[in-house]
Amino acid sequence: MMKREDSISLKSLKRRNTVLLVLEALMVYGLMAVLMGSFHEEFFKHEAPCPLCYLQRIAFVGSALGALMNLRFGIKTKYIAVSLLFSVFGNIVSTRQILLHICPGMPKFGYPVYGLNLYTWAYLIFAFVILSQIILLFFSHARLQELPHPKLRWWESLAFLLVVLCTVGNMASALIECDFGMCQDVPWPPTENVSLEIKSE
Amino acid sequence: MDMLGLFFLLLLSVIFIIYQKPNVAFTLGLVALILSVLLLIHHMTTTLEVQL
Repeated sequence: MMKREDSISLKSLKRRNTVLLVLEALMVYGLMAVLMGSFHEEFFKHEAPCPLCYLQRIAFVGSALGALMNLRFGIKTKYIAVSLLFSVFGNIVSTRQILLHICPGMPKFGYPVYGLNLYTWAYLIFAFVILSQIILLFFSHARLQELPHPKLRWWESLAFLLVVLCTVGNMASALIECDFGMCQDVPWPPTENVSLEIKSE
Repeated sequence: MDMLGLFFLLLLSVIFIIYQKPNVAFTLGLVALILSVLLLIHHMTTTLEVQL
């Protein structure tokens, strides 16, 4: 009877592990889709990213990093913490940018997408990632860490490939925009060359 | 160099995950996070200087 209970709990644990890993992979796909969207804005709409935009992109990759660790080494709370810390950081950065651009006399940065600016979307997405990681923590179990982790499946390998491609793409973008120096604020709108500095009157 | 270096750190971390070095990847991820926070503080202080 005892053995039967153990086997059932192990089976449900394995099922739970698979569901959580699928959710983590979906989160990585979502985050990388956001980064690809920002590449679209950058290269097709000629919207050069600012230093805060790069910091948000770093937070997106960092949030995906924690999820990748979960996919590769099994679900552990310290890997979920990496995702959480990066998404909280990203949330702070996007809040900072929203606050900068709601000041009177400050133009909004970039073209709106579905009515919202990219940094507002980033704020909402980081909030969603924080929520999803907290839900993951609720459903993670101490015994999940003891489960043997099988070889990477194709959908996990795809998540790795996407993160590597997006990170290399961001490195290329940073190299084009900032060269080997520090990234500087980008004037917006680009045609009118309006400075982002607050003018004292 | 600042953003380029941070993306490079994250890329290194992903490579170490692929080659199954969890501790190195974890440490690199945390170093990238700390450096990002420092960069944000730097950006905030310079923007404050402009405003003042």
